[in-house]
Amino acid sequence: MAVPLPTDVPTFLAPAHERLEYVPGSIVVGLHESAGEPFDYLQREAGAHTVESLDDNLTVVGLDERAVSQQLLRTVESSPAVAFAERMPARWLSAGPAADPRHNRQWGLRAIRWFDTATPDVVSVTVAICDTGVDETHPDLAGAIASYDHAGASADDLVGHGTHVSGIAAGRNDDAAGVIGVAGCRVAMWKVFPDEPMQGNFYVDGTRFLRALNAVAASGAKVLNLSLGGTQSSQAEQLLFERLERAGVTVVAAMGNEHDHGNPVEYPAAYDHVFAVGAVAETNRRSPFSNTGPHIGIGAPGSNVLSTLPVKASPYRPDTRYASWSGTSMATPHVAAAAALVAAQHPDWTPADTKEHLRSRAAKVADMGGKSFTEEFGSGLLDIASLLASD
Amino acid sequence: MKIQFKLREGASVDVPGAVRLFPDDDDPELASLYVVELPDDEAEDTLRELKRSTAVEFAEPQAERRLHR
Repeated sequence: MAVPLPTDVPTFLAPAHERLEYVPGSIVVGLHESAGEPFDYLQREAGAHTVESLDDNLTVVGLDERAVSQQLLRTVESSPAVAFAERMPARWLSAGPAADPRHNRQWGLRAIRWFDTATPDVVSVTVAICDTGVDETHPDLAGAIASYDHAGASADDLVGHGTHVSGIAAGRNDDAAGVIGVAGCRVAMWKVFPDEPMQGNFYVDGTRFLRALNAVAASGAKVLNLSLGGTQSSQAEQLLFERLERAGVTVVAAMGNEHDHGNPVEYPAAYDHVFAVGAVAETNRRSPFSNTGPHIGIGAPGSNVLSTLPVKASPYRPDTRYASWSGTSMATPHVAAAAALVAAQHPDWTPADTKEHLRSRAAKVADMGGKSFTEEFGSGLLDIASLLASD
Repeated sequence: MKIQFKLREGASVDVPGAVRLFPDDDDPELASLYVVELPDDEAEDTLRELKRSTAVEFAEPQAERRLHR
């Protein structure tokens, strides 16, 4: 079902009826010959503040918009030295606004230099996500959900977390709706959270989670996104992550949001075969909540990340359609989608190759102090342009 | 509390209520993984016994995992 969505006004181009015909306070003077007299007049009578010669015959004059009139232009043209005087015409981009109307609010895409490169076609690459489910009817996820296993629970994403994560990774690009996903990949969703919270919190159904990990290994997915975690390690989980690695699945997991609550080591992020992702804020500094540690791979945008939410509200989530959320949960799908882009570009690479590439192409940020690795940022900030650049 | 454990190859233990984690999978490694849900007051004793058993490669409580939003 198509749902009408409110749209934001793109900041770089006003609607046609609001566009300017002329650049305010700017006139162009064409000369037959080099002459100073017309400009002396403009400075004296019209308060011209800038006179910029483009070449011997063409000069742009800046002045107060209120001083610009047809009478003024005719007076300047009356000089024998002047071929013409006219207002500077306004020109705008022919491309029109970006189709996804909220893209200007996606600061993270600029931070990871997503706009600076062409991304490969990744529709053949599937990113698996174990999360709270997904709203398959969301217009920005139309056609993006390859499969959805919610056995043992409803199909509804009551929390909205899985839908938000899915939009970051795979929101449809250039579809005149909402947001841009980092990759145009497809998503295979396993809902591993129950419909009801336990003591006010949502916890993974452990058995369902382990079964989902095994199913992902057999699914053909190239990447697994895990925006979840906890402080206890598990040998059963480790066994399954080793199998995922052998199956060619790059596993990406969130570092955790408890930096100011003891900064614990969290799993699955800290397992050997898992690529751990920390959160970075708009300032290119570590998001204050983002855990640190020697196991971190890289950082990615995790503060105020705009993405999709289910179109229907739930008792656990008043927001619908779109919202900006924060967490290493939001940083992780940026990197999972980046891994999908790498998989599309290098289909024969192993997860180890992909993870090394993500590390080696990350951008160093100022807070790393010139080091190649820090426990706050790992090897740096995800850099899509560098990641996809040929050597 | 849920406990998961892995049996050594060819071994068995008697834990009432335990089921295979991957009942449809013939892979020996996966076929040796079990899970059992027990009341908290029984679970700790059972976990201790499983950890002591030579038939068991590992036994652990199911790890808590939550969202990182």
